[in-house]
Amino acid sequence: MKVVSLVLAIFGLAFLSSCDKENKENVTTEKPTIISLTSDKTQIKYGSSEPAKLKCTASGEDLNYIWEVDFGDLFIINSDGSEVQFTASPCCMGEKRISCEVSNGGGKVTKSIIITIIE
Amino acid sequence: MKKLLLTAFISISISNLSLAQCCSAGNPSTNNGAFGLSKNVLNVSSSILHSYSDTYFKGNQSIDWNYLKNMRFNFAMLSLEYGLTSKIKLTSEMGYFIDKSLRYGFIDQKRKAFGLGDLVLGFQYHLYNNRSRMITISPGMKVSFPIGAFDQMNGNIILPIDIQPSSGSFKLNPTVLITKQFPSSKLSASSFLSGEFSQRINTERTHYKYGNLYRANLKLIYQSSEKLNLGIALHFQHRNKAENKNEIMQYTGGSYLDLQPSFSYTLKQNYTLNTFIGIPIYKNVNGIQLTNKYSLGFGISKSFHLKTLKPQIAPDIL
Repeated sequence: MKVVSLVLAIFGLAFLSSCDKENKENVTTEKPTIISLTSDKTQIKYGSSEPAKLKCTASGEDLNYIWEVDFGDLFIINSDGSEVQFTASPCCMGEKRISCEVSNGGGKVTKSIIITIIE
Repeated sequence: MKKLLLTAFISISISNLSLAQCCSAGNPSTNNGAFGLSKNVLNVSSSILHSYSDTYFKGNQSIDWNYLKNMRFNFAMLSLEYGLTSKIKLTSEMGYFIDKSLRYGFIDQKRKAFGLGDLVLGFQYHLYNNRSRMITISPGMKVSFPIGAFDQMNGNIILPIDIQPSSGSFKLNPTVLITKQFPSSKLSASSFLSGEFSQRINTERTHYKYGNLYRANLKLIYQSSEKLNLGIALHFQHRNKAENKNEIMQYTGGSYLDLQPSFSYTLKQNYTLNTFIGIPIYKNVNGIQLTNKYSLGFGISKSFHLKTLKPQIAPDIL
């Protein structure tokens, strides 16, 4: 009898556990939203003396940040990757479009900002 | 004699590499200025190229500029050349960046990329051969296909275009090779002229066009023995300014002159070792740019005589 009770208990626990797992799988992650993408400067001199600091503010769970610019150099300056420092070598004068892509299990969104590199 | 000449000119193939510019995406520009391959002969060569850049120039003067500390790459290349007929040679090149990296001077960070570069396919036509004057002229054409990585990341950052392994652009590369030998002399000379014209990259990220590249190479080869060839080359290149979003990038392009000593040594069984060093002797860049300090190349090549395949089954039993 004890053995039967033990087996039933194990099956019961396994069933509850699988239900819990199904419930978790049914919970969908919402696509993130970018609230703002800001920079402390709209124009910087080439070289390292005057970097621009950019901040990508987003809402959502488990956010992952990816930054992109065609020419110029971006450096992550905080732990979650939502803030970067931007500088450029002389090659890259002109308008640069910097993009912040935020993603999670629900999808991804991108926002861009223009910073001008001057002499 | 014929074998010696073949060896001498094959030796040009890696020693005319154009590594004068430090920072551009895609394969290091290769001249592939070799001729002399017979019909049905396949030449396979494998080489390792290294380039190091750490000197900023403004115009033709070096300056102290604290931005990039250095940039380097190690590139492994496989080249195939096949003599389709006695006059037409087919060529292909493919390479892999083992390490393409840059280190910043103002912040303790570096960027590193690796992966496949571009695929280059081409041909060379043996147009003119004056036996009495011992002059040959061989024009050719190459096309680069951007098959490699162009969206590599470093942490949360997509790497800038100039450090990506692939150029991201189709390129057309017309070439002309002129060779001259001297009667009863161990000396021979070659001149290799080429251009490179890139297609504009039109993506969401950029609308970039590399500046046109024009190159001229003059090389003297001395056959010091049956197996050893010594070479010295002057390599000039000029790159026009690049364009981005229909605006000219003023601080790109320039002119460079390199001295390239080289040697090749033929081993047993048609293996040939090649090596060269590229030493910049003149640079004149637009604006301020990081420039190459030196480049090195080491390669090994082997020729195979491919026999014509014969039917394995006698026609009369079919």
